[in-house]
Amino acid sequence: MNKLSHASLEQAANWYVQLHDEQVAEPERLRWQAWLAQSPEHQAAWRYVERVGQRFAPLQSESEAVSHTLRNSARTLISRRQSLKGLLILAATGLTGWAVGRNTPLLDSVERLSADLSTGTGETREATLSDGSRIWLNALSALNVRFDARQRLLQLRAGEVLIDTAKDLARAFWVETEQGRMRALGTRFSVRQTDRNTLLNVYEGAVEATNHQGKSQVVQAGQQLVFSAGRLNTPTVADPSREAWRRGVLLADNLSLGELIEELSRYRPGHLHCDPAVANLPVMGSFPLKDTDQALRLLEAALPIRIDKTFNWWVSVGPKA
Amino acid sequence: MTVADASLVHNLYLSHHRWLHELLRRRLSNAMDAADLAHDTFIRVLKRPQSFNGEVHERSHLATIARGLCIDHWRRRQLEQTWLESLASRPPASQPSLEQQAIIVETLHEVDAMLQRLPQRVSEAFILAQLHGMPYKVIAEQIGVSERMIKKYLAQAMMHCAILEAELDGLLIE
Repeated sequence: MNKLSHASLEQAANWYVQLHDEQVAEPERLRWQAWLAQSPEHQAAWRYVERVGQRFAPLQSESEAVSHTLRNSARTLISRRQSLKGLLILAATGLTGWAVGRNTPLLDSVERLSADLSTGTGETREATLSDGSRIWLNALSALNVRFDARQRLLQLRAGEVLIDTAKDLARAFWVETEQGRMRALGTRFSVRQTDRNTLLNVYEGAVEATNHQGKSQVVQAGQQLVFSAGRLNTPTVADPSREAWRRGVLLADNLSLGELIEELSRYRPGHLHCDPAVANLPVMGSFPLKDTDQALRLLEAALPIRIDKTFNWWVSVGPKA
Repeated sequence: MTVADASLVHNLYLSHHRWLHELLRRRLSNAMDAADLAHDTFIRVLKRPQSFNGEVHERSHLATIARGLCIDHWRRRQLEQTWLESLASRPPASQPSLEQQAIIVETLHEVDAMLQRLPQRVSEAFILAQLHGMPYKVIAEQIGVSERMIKKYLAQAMMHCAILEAELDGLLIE
């Protein structure tokens, strides 16, 4: 096996927590065993959860000194990181082989817990900031608001935000992502944080984007720009769908089915999987984000695909038999 | 890894090793650590080969990896130091053996790396449960949230760590 689903690991983690509860009862154990017996994947997920538990074993004999160390060096690291300007995004990679700056859905959810404003699956949020600027936060997103006397700064930690800035000649309006910073020049624009890139769409006015290498580019209304920490592409035509979600609509203009399903999964709790065999099918049209079941039905009617609902929260999209 | 990948890294090494070593030496102010970390940086590239778009891109990629390794290096030193400080106040007889200490420091580093990206309250709950074996109810009182919330925190922390464990084995989490 070289793949493991997010869902199995989540279930395994939940079981681990249940079983270590002092009040765990026999029926619970039996249900856990049934779950374990269900599939080799469950067993693999369980092994990893147990392995995490075992990692702590050598430390237990020195629990006081160890927790003191963990807590205290955590604090100093934060101050050190803040002094290392710009390094904040590079999560230290402890064990060899970890990818730097990864963005698994779980890490997103961790980011969301600690952010000022955040949204869960299927949730969008509208807010008016203290300067009168309006923002819309897309599903599974997290944003910090750092306004002070000199500047207005939004830190997008995960997901996507659409911004309608208010005028304030004294304070510049900045949006920061993992890859760089954007300065609004009186505008409406959206910023999306993906695994490795920032996606900027400008609908009114202009935005100046600068990545961590210091390369910058002014993006005009009607343009879109993709950039990473080390690279800045040439702007292309703006994508209207990056604004449509605010109205609860997913606009597909020659999107692939795989991309569309990924987008839909941000609005739907549970597991939504697209078979690679059909992931490249082109999709056109608009789909309701508030009713993802309806969106899936529309897709099924229009494309040579079959939608399997094993459970309501476990849906896979594959080729028609 | 293909032969092409190996020669790619080889060329990368020839063109940029001196530059990278110098960069690290300035940052770490220690030539030996710098040599180690420069070496580790190329090992990383070997493990995950990719193609580059010109010399600037190559250097920026190397610098990014090296920066991550630097932070890691500082972090490790800091952990060791804090650990030694927390032992210093104790009489020699009650100190763990040197061998035990080596195991603890290594494990500390692993556990710390796992907990780093968790919110403070989540990692605190996880430490209390995993390290001190505290009942959920007591943890809830200590942190000041409901027992149900603690269970949520713990499941979240556990899943986060389990994903990292699985990725260490090269598994793809989808």
